[in-house]
Formats: sequence, C-alpha cells, structure tokens
Amino acid sequence: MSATDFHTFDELPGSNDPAVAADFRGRILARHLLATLRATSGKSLSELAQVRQGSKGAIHQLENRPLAKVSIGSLLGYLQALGYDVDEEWIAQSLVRALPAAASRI
Amino acid sequence: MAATTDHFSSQFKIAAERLAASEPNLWDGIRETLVYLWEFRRQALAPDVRWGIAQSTYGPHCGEVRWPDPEIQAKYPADAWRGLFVAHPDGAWYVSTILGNKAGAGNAWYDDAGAQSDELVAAAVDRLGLRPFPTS
Repeated sequence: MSATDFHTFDELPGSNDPAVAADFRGRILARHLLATLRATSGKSLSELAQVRQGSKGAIHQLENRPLAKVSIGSLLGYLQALGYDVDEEWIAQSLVRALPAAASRI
Repeated sequence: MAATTDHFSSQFKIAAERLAASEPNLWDGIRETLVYLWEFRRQALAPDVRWGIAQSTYGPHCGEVRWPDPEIQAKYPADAWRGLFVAHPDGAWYVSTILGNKAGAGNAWYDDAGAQSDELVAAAVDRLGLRPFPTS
C-alpha cells in the first residue's frame, strides 16, 4: 500500500460495537440539531449568553448535553430557556426540515 | 455508506486500523463522525466537525472530524483525535488525508498535519483524476 494510494469508506474498519456506535450517532445528531437551531435563529453564543445572563460556556455546555435525555415534553422549556420563542409546531417542522436526504447506510 | 466521492489516504486507513484494534470505541466515534460528515456535508457542525483549518492552503475547504466528543473527553485525557479532510467547493469530492492524535501537541499538530494533508490532496487529484481545485 503506497502512501499515495487512496481508499473508499468501505475499506475502513467497521463498527466494533453497533450499540456504542448508535449511541454516538444519537449524540452527534442531537448536537447537530441544537447547533442548527441556534444557527438558524441568527443568535451567536455571545448573544444567547446575554439573553440568558449567563456565560458562553454555559450555553455551549447545554448544546453538548445529550438530547436523548430530554423528553419531548420538556424540549420546549429547554429551548425556551436558551432564548428561543418556539412552539410544538415549529419544533416538528424544524425536525422534518433538518432531516438529511434519505440515503442507505451500511 | 458507499459514496464514491469520498476518498481516504493510506495514512488515514492505517491509523484507523490501528485505532480500531487498540481503542475500538474511539474508532467507533470517529467512524460515526465520518458518517455524519457524509450525510450533512457543509452543514456538519462543531463540535464534531470543524471547518476552516488555517494551516492548510485549502483554508475554509479544509476541515476536521473530532473525537472524543465533549461528553466523554474527560475519560480520555490522552486522546484528541483529528481527521483532516478537504472538500471540493462544489462537493465533487472529499479527500480525508490525515488521522492523528493531537493530544499534548496542541495547535502545533496542525503545522505538520496541514502540510502533509495538502500534499495528499494534490496526490489524490492527480492519481484519481479528480476535478481540480479552483485556483482563484
């Protein structure tokens, strides 16, 4: 194998533990959703921190928390605490828009 | 995932194989982050994907996948894995170049890795016949 050979994703090692990989994927997508929500609101970390009278670090930590631990029922309060004026319908529509294009995964 | 637009250097593959053998959970995280990048492309966001590696001449088109994630980083003080990649501006291809552990090296890690990555991208364009990167 030469240093200038190139390979496909399928030639990389597979998942060691599907359950662990699924957990990682859930966390990644949860962070993506929260970061997308913040980005589409047009608010920066600094602005959100100002709204909440907290630190940028605290906002970032909230975004890093696993969304899987947040029930749908409390999601509204969670986002509203971040400074968003949202309701259930907006959340549902945003989730659908945020979904990636359908694609087959190995 | 079988995207034909995505290419991985031998360095990346070998490092992945070593990591998968020694720290399989860490590899699983990197692998899922690569899947995330493949699915979301330019919309992939920090902290899992960071765009704009200043040490690369490809600048905003050079990015990195990052693992461990913030939730488990404290459990892995000796690990800060970064997988550099470059994306063609129109999405024609993604070349993942360097996979390495920057823990302890700080941002100095990017000085060497960025230069090596740039060379590998040029090699990939040449060897694989990829659409050239715009020069403007």
